[in-house]
Amino acid sequence: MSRYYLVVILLILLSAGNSHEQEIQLNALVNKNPVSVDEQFVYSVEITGSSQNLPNVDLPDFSDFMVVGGPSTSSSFQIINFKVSASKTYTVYLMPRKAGTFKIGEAKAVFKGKTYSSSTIDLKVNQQDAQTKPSQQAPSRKQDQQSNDLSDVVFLKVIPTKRTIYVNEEVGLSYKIYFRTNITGNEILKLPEAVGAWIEEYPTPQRPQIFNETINGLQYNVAEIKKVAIFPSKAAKLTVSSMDMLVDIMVRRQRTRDPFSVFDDFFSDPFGQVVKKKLSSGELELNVLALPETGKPGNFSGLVGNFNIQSSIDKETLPTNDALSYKVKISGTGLLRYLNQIPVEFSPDFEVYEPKINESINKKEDRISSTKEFEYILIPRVAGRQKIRSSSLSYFNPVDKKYYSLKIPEYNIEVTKGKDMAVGVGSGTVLSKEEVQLIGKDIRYIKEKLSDLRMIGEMPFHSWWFYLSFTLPTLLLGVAWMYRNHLEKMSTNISYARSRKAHKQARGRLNQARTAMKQGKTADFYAAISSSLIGYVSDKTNRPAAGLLRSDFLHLLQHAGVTENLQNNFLNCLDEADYCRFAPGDITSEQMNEFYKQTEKVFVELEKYF
Amino acid sequence: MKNIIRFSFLIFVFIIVLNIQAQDYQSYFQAANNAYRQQNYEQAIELYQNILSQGYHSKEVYFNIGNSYYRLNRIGEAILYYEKAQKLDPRDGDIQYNLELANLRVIDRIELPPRFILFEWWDNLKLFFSIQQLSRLISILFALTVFCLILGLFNKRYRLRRWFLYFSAVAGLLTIFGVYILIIRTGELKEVHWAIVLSPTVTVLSAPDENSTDVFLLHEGVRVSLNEDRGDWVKISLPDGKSGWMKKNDIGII
Repeated sequence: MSRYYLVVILLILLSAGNSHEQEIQLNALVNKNPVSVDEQFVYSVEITGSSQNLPNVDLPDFSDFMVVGGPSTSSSFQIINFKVSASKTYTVYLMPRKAGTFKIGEAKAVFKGKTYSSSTIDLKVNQQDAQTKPSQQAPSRKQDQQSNDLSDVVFLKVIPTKRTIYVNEEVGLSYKIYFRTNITGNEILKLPEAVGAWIEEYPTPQRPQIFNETINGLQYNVAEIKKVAIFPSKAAKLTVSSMDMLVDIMVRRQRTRDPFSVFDDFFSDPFGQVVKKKLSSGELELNVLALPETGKPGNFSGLVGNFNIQSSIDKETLPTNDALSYKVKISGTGLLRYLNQIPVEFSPDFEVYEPKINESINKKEDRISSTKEFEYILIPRVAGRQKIRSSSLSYFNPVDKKYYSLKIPEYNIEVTKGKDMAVGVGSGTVLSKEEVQLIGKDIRYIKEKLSDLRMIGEMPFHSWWFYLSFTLPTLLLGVAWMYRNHLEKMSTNISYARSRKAHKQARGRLNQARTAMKQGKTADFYAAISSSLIGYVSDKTNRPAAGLLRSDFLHLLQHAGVTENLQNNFLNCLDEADYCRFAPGDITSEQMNEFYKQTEKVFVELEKYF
Repeated sequence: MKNIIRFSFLIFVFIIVLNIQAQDYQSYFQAANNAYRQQNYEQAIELYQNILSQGYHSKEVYFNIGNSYYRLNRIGEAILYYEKAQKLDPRDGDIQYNLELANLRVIDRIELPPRFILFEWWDNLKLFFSIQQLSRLISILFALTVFCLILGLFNKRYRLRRWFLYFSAVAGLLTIFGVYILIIRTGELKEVHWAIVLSPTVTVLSAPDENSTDVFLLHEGVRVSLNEDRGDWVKISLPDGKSGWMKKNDIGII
């Protein structure tokens, strides 16, 4: 490359005399035109003049290109034939971003109030050549070697640990650089990216180890430049974009039919030239499988790897409103980033705070291993035997393609009543308006008097008054009913009424007889007796009293089933009363009294038959 | 006649004996009240319990035991005894008030959907009187029915007679209604059992077995209804429909 500026310098030296009038000159040039996309080129601006103090040059805008190196400056100062000639060269290493034609603008410098500018350069950028396209295949030896095609000298290759993986399974991508020449520097331009996957980078070693590998008969030095782990998050084809890097390599100069080759040989580095080369690993396609459905546990949360679990509580006995720490630690190979909680359910008697989560990823081993610790702070609000129920966390092990379940054991905690009880009301309760008014109120005082002591289990219907209160009115009602019936009959049924009244009337007449007897009214006495006897039988049998003959009485008495003796007694009494009534002789009060008793007796006897 | 005399003598003796016993309990009760006044709540409970252990109870005894437990901060027991007191007299304001206060300190709140207003009225009507009061009322109503009926039967004035008969019919219907409620109430007493959770925290299980799965958690003071009894275990249910098994010694039956 340097030969180009030598040419320029030579030209300037040759033309020094001619350029005397012009105090300052700006000359811009590129070392290559056209260039291919991934090819590096040099843009340089030389400012020459006869002044010792050459101004600084404003470089044009390089936004269309990648600035790979520079700008660097070099200056020279000569006095030839008493003529001062100074020059300063600005060098920028550039690389095109894309194909097309680009204009590199003017470089400018201001000298003694005058602005000088270089010419613009139209640079053509060609599409990448087939040969220079990086591929995972080792470059063929038969390849037509162009001056800048160094793909068999150095290339970048991505080596996945697996090409077919499960969702969330780790696939390690190893980016290795193969080289057959010295590499003096490297710089990663772009890291691999993948949509729909989590990428975890392994730390890059300071000094990568270098191995030997032979590809197609060529021996390469191999160094792992980068290692990443990819965890695909969905079951589909996953495309990992390429990793791009830039390396500084030593290239042995090639002989060309360059007319300045003599100088080249003379000036060039004895070990070769340093060339910047862009390397690309190329895209990588991975096949991502969905996790098998068979045997998938219901609580599966998507963990893939190989894990184990540890849990602990810091105390087993504590008072209410004190804090308890419950820790669950999951560790193993695989990614735990997406595990945000553990499937443990706490009793509502605990106030549970958001867990404190500690996550660490270990990338020192071959595979990524992580540890995630959840620390829950629980505050029991209620005394009693509380427990943290056991729960389980399941994961899929991609090695043996099976699901496993990790069990978090159950913890029993004895919660004692703490001293600082909440004021009256249980926590977490919603109170109604009426209830709110009761807060802070005290209970009403005990009852001082024992009003009603009863046997336990005694029912009102076990007590006599209850039954009495039913039977007594019922009986009363029955009696009343009967009495009412009687009254009704008396008023409607003459024979019944007469029959019911017969005794009463007979009694009344007998009483009349008695008064008559006491007054000595013999006739009245016998008349009353007679009418009482006749009245009684006629009332009882519902016959008109008048016109009843002695034979009729006999008949009626016989009909009522009265004994013959009583019949006779009755008739005798009747006869005697009639006789004595109309033929009162010497009848003593004793006789009357006797007769009265006799009649009474007859009545008593008769009562049985009527 | 002789029999009647003998019978009434027996009743007389019985009443006297009852009175003597009542005097005895009256003194127990006063002693317990004194202990309560001196804030000797545990002793007070013991003395009140003496009355109960003799086979006698009253709402006052239950109420005062409830108060003593409340003072001892044992809300489960307090509620149990208030409930027992309320069972004897559903309309006692003091019991209602203290029960409400005690229930405020229960952790579990069982939210119920609002009930149809008619059911609410019916329940209120049903619980308006205690069983004692209700049976007395029925007796009075029945006597009134009969009295009016008799007056109606004998009254000669047609108009008055009609009024008495109407009155009697109304009283009679009320009596029948009262008897109906009494039958329902006593039936409920026999069939529906309620209990209060006494342990601070109880895990209700899905089966009468320690190793069965947990269904839900209950705390001291919650009222549950008892559905089944199997040895040490009882099946309980909550008004919102949840049910499960728990150990018998975690509850107190009202």
